[in-house]
Amino acid sequence: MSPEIFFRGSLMWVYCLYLIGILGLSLGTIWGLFFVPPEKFQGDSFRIMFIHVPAAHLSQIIYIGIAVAGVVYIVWRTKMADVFMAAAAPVGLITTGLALLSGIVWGKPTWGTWWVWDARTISVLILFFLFFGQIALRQAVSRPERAAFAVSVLAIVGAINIPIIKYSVEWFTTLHQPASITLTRESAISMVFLIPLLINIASFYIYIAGVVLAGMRTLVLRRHKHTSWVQAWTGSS
Amino acid sequence: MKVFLATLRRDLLVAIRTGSETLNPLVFLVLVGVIFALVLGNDHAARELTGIPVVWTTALFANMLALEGLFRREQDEGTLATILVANESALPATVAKLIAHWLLTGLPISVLAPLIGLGFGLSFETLGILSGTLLIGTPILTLVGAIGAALVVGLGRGGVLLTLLVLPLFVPVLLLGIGTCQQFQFNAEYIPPLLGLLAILSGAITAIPISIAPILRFSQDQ
Amino acid sequence: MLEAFAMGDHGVYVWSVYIVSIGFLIGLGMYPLMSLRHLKRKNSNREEIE
Repeated sequence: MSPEIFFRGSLMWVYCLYLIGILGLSLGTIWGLFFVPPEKFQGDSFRIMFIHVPAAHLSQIIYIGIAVAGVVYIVWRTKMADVFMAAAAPVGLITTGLALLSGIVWGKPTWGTWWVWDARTISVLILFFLFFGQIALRQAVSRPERAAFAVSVLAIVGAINIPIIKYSVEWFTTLHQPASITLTRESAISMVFLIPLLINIASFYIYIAGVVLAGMRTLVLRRHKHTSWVQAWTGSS
Repeated sequence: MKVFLATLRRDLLVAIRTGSETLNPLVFLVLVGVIFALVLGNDHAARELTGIPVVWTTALFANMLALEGLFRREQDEGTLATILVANESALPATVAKLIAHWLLTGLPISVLAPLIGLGFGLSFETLGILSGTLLIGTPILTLVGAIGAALVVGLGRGGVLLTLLVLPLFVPVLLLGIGTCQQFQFNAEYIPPLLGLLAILSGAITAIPISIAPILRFSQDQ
Repeated sequence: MLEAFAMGDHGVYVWSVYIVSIGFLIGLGMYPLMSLRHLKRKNSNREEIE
């Protein structure tokens, strides 16, 4: 796809995704905060779930997306795949950060401790560092083609590692923690909680898709700032 | 085969001649291990419990210190490009470099680590298995780390960046390695994690050596 | 009404998470839009100077 067509065509998409995402997030959040009864065992602290679960979901999906884009870039040298990776990595870092933060704060009232070294928390933590590595590597390499290639390789290697990390951490933590703390977060969600949760997850996806797309537009503009169509666009309006 | 032997021989010779650079990671390993044993004081139970994780982690860091230099000399001399120009010599040359690197870091680390383990009061059997898991684990570290080293080659300030990139990828090796030793130490089943370690090693051996040369070549062209 | 906000003992946890998350999400959405506007202004300024 030519950058100009992408840039012009994506504007409407960004607006739509932002609008639907924000509306959906408002709906799901208000529903989850005020119109859902407190949970039987956790009381009100379970309401953090409406942020935590979507953020955790999304960080994994974003990393998988980056890895797929890495494959696309290495095989076809598609410029847009690189633009996607560049735009998505910081977003992924922040959603992973939110997942970690909400998990930490949720842990305190629920388990009585801020942090539990279990498979899921460690996997998300490692995901956080993988996103950070993506950004750091891109910044360290000055030539754009080399940066794109290096970041793609790193993304693929990281993606291959994620299941290995998950299994090894799971095995290692069950070794050290006899089931004193059982994490049954999502296992027993009743319908009452499920609807706002699903709304929030879907809206998170939509909103973040809009954010990544908006980031891609900015990057496209920056990379093509000397071309005539960008000059024409900045001259207009 | 000729390229392979020549590269291997040259890397080993250079390492022997420039001595200190090869010894640095090993001295680091001993030093950090000793300091850990020192600060734990005279609490034998604590030492016995922390010995394996500390030695394994220190060995991993020592290995990582050496990684940065994997392609540095060729990069500085400008010979990295010439090795990789010819398609047929690229693979044997990279394999030779990886083997040389392991012979100079992973192998001595695996031999030295149990000696530090002695300072933590670990039993001889445990030390044996510690050495064994390191012998399986350090080649994985060299292989996976080589991808990172190939990505950051010639970037100048690659050291910390390299650590940042590859350390998350080392987590499974570390956990399985430590886990195997601890399971053995406490008379539990230690074969499954050992098999996991071997599986990762065989996967890394099949996939990584062939991909190093293209990555390096790309880092060179651009 | 106030009780609904206090959420037993858990209000502090819930609200802090929501406030920080919403703040980050808004920032995340604003950033590309702002930087696009910034780029545009910079580019058109340069044109005028040239």
